[in-house]
Amino acid sequence: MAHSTAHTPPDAAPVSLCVRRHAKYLLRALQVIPQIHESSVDANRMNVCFFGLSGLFVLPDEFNPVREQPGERARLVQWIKTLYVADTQAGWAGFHGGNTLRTAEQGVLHAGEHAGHVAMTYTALACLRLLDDPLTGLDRVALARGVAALQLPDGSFLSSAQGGESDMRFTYCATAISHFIQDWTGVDRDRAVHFILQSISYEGGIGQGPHLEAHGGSTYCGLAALQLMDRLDALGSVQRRKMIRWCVNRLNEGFNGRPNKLDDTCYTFWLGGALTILDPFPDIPNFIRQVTPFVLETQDVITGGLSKSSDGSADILHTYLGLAGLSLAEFPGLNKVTPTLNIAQNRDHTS
Amino acid sequence: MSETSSSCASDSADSNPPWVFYRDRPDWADVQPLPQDDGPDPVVRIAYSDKFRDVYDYFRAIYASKEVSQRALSLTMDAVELNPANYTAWHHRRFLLKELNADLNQEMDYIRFVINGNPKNYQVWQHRRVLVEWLKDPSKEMRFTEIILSIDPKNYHVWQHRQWAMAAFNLFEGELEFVERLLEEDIRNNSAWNQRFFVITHTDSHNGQFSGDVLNRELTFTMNAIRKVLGNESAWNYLRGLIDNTAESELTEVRKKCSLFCHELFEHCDRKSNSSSNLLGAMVDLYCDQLEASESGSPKEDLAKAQELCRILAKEVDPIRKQYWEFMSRDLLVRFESQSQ
Repeated sequence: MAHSTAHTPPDAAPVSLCVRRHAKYLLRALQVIPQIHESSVDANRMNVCFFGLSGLFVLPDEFNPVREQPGERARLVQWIKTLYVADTQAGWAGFHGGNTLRTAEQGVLHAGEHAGHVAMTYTALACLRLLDDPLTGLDRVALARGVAALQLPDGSFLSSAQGGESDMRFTYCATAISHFIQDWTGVDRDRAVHFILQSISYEGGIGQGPHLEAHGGSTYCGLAALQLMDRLDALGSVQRRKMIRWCVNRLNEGFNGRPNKLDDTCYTFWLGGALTILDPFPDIPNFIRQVTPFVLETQDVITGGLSKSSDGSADILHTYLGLAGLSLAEFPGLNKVTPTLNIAQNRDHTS
Repeated sequence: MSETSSSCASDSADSNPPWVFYRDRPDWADVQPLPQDDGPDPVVRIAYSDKFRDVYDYFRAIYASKEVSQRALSLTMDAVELNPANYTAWHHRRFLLKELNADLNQEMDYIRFVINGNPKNYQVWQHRRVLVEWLKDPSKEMRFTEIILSIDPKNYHVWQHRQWAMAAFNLFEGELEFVERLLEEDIRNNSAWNQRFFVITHTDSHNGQFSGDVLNRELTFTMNAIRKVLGNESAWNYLRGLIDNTAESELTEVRKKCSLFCHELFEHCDRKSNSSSNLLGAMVDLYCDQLEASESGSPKEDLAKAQELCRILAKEVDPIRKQYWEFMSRDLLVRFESQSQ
């Protein structure tokens, strides 16, 4: 998103993480998105909010201006909740990604016909968890019903009740939502597990659906969903061994998402997370740590932010996933990320 | 989000007439625009352009009124062009297409144009899929996806759409030849290998199990590919996939064949080069298979050989995965130590 042309000169590779600049970069994303990005962001503002906020909570506390500021936290909570939609008739609820349909005169237009987008509901609840909000004003039962309305007979989940695609991303979102609201009535776990197992490819990794190519992102989603459902043991020993091999084979200088594809910063989290969940051998952080030089090379040391590769331009997704991945590698100073939820671990703090 | 393009079709053509805001259009004078309410203090505030704001103010108006008209349909076109990732705008467009009983073939031409500009956007492919379902006509899908794949042969969205169309409408004919062409162009194209597996699973397997001529054909094809490029993980994964899905009756023979193939390669490869890591890994797996099936004539030696390969991988060939290969070696010992005594 926030493109910049400044790059690290090749012979002056940064050896450290530009924490202060990344904090500014993340904070900027939470504030204003420039006009040239309106088209890519408008329907996904909740995701941008998640990447920005979650990134700040991964950074050392002294660089996170949100953590200890009740006013800022309240502002964020308030805005996130403007995207909450509930259909009182059908009894389901969820979150939208942006306020495209919200008007002063009529509130959210035809809120009864849809209940948000499951990915936005996940990122909204993740943000609220980071902000220690007790979900005041949200109807947990309706949120669980909103999840239930999306599950298809094959066990997969649609993105929204309006239809749309169904793939492994939304299986993950459905399980993470259920975890956040502590209500699993929205997920038929047996069917969800079946869908995940059906999506394991001959290569050993997990695809977005049955027969699709194994992919780092969907492998993370499937494994995290299994773990959140407490069903990681559904993987047979052969499946587990092949999956471990496929995941460790993604490591080059960085991680790639599929065989013979280029390394990309975002897979630091997707593969780092998958391996942390699988936990096949001692000291996984040390294994992930090997990609640190690659990730640091993708920093924009002028504007802050990380990009997918050393010759790309920084964007919020790669900035967040790069930082979260480095956290899984126990990069000094960064807060620990819970691999299944993709947010910094909850800690007691005064507010 | 990172995968959506912000290119706007109407801006790219110079021949288009100058843009007129909806608020200045006489034929829209009867509609009261509905501004967005973003709350008193928005987060991730977007510095909307006048055009974007104007189009979406009128989009909200027709969305609220559910006006069914040609002008509403063309307004949704402006809305999705400004933001192809807006799932609500696409959804409303489909509502209008249905209500207006619109020419869906014309819509197919339109979505082809939009996908060309945004080939990695989820919503545009979803729109196309719905249209194909409505029309019950998949006749353009194979050619269309082939064209988009010629730009990026690893575009996941395209493969997903192609597989959906093939499975929904039974379009497997000629696909193996297509895959072979792609692999001739790039033998490392993992998406093409995956597609090959998808095809043979549907057309040439018995409940996902391979045997007989098909199995031999696939083994030969894969082994030839590996001979060309030893370090090609895609081909090695495919070989493993074949072994793991071989019919029980032929399993012993297939393992022997693969074992022989690997040992031949091993004699001639540069054992210290990273390019032989997949070969050595496959050999470890084949020793495991034999031990697992109690087919090994000399389990003690085979276990020792497998562990020695792990040691070479950890120390010389594949040191970035040292932790993994050391774990594998320990794991082998735990699993097969009792057998080898």
